[in-house]
Amino acid sequence: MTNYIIRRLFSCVLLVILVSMVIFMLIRMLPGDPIDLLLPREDMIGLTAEQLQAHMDALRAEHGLDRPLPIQFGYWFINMLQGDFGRSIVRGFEVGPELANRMAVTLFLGSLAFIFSIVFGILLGTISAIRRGKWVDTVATAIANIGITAPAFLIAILLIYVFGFRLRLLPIFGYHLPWRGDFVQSIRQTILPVFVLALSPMALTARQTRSSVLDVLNQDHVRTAWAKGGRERAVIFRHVLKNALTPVITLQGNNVRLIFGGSAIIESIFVIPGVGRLLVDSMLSADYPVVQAIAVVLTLITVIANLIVDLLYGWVDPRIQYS
Amino acid sequence: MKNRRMIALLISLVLCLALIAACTPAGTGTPGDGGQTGGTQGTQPPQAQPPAPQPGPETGGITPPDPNARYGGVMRLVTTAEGAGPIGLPWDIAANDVWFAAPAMETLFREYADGTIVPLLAEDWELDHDRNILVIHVRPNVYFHDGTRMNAEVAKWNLDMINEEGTPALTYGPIEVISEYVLEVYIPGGFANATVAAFAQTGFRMISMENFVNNGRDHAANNPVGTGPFIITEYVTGSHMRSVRNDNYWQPGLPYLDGVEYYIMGDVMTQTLALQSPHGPGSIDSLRTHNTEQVRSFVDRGYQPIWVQSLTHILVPSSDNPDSPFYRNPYLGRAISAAIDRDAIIAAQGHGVWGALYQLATPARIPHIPESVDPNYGTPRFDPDYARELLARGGFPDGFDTTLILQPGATSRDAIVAMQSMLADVGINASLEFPETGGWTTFRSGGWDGLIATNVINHVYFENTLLNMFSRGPDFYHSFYTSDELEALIQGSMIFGDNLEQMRAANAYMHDNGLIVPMWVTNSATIVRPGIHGLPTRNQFIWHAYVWFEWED
Repeated sequence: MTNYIIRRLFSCVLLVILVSMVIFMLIRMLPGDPIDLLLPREDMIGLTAEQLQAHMDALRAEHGLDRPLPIQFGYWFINMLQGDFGRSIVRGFEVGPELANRMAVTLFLGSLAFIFSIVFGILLGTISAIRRGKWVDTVATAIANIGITAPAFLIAILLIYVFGFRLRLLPIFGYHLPWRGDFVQSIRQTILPVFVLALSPMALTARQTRSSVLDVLNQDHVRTAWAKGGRERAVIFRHVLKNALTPVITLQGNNVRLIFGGSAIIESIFVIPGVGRLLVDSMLSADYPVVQAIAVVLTLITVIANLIVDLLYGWVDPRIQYS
Repeated sequence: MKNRRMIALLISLVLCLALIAACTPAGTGTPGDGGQTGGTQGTQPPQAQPPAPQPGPETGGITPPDPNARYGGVMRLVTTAEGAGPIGLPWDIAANDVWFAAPAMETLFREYADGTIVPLLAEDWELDHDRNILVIHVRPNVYFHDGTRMNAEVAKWNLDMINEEGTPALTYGPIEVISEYVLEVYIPGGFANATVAAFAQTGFRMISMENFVNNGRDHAANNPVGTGPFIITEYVTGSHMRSVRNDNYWQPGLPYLDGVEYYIMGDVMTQTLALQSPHGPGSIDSLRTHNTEQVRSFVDRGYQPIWVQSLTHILVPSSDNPDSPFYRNPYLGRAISAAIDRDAIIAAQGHGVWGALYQLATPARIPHIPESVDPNYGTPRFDPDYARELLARGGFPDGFDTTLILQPGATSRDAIVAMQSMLADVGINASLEFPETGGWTTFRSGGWDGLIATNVINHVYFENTLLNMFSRGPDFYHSFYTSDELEALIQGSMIFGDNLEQMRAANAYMHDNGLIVPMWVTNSATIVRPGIHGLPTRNQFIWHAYVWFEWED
């Protein structure tokens, strides 16, 4: 087991390096030059073409963009390992502290959405399977189908309209972490974005759980448990759910990606100062250091989530051996 | 079983009906509780409410308090894009973030939308033409939010920092402090008409020297300390800024509001709902937007527009690219002008907020050039037959193939597609390109073959527009042909005093030679909830101090 974890960690590191290199190269292959964006039109008054070129060259050197790409990558990667993500070219802020601030928001909301999606997804799927064909199943299936098919931005706008604008129960926009201001307001601001972020993963989890539970319900050991007169709750939790969870756990790696990937849209709609919105803005302005840093952190989150998923298999099903 | 299915169906039906009910149009309300007053006034600028009492040179830049004003309340404003950088150092602030510092920081001078300059943190100024010296008399008894005094030494330090760390649009210095409140600024290039106006731009806001020197650059960048009517208490990059009333503000009786807050909100639906919500936390009172449909919709409901006739939209042919059919060809640009039915595009896309354009000089703020208000002046109007004739005279009787490249976000893609179709009617087959920001700058600064659809900022001083966008120095549009004659006209327009003839000639030269194809002028706006007074009629950075709510907050 320990060997397996070490091997997986090693491959995770390789994966992160690989992704860093790919992102580093890809973003530089995009057309455009961030130095161009650094020069407002007004700043060019009175400059000759040569002066302008010299000015741009100086800015390029200041940001280390005049070096060969492998050297740039090497510097950036070594600095990153030391916790220095560099400075935003276009906006001028230190990437590390800004990323930490924003990542705290995205991680907090994403984690809540993840927990919400697992708890309610499994609950909904299990109830749906046990009450197959009943009205509970019909409603749960309808909710799951909406979650899978409806675009998150549409759900978000509808919820803002109904709960924010019409009913005035929840705030329309804005967000701060609960420990950085009004706690109650923060909780009110959390409800809609977390629900929207969680809806699709919850629906997927519910569908997968329903399908797995239905499979297990028909197996011999469950029939035996029922025949032995076991109580429903005990049979479901001890004999059904535990055996049905493996494919559900597999799904969670993908759900982490869904939640953090979807944060860009949700953060824009709810005006949340998270990392998703920063990523989109930085991509559009070719702000290399910011995009690279966010890509690495999001890759790390996904990789670690998948590692945890793999390790959970063994905990849920002891028959699985790590070699 | 059957009954339960029926119940499930019934519940679903009730939920759907509830949703539909929730989505029906909102009812009317009072200005303070949502502002849906159902007005029908048009969106044509520059109509607006009567202007609030304005300071002028005769009042030394001080605005007397409005006797009808009501004190109190927090105004919440929205900008649509973030720069996400620190806002404490005016010379280092991202363009999209300049709004956040506006309530807290002030400049030596204030520039009105019509070009009038009034002193603000300065009390007066003089131009010494013999020595090329701008003499600035700093206003006494002005204090920064940290309690330190504004004087000539602090003004000099600020101007020196802007020179050293920023990239100011004006060459100046050295600066000499003559007395506690008088300083002299040397302008080596001599005066132009826009010289003093340059010191009124956002990059020339004054900040506390002591805050910077004692606490360091990073602290000053993240903790803005100005002299403005509001003190910034919280700024979260990419999210919002909150400020509270400066009780020691130098203008007696101002500001009226208790606080001003700015939010960054990119989503149109969220903006719309927040502006329609009743005033209070969770709503907004003002929205700065380029979305013409949104502007039209709100103005029609009685919301107040603060107009920004901000952008002149033009096509720039690649007149300096030897591989291009447009290369120094005076006919093709004019042919394109005759091929485009601007009125049709404007009717479909402009929502009454755009205006057709046939010359670079617009009556944007000051009609510097008499021709700018002449409706018959400029490039050819829509006439496909004339367009074909011009093509033939330009050596392309059967038309030609070209590319139409749109600057990201410059104008609607639908308008460009319509334009493509109009060009095809006269034989010009234009393929479309919609590059992202990076790709666009590559075309603009590296050169292109075809036409770029771009927008030009309408500077208050037309000569600045000419110099910024079309002179050789900036080489802003790389494939634009700045002939010796045009360059001489542009440089000649930079004199102090009467430069009218040079500007008129440069304006005429560009459209007579087909160097640009004016398309339309767009008016973006700041939309403000009804019942808010003291607003400027045109967009400016310095106005927060004069605003008041007619309701009790």
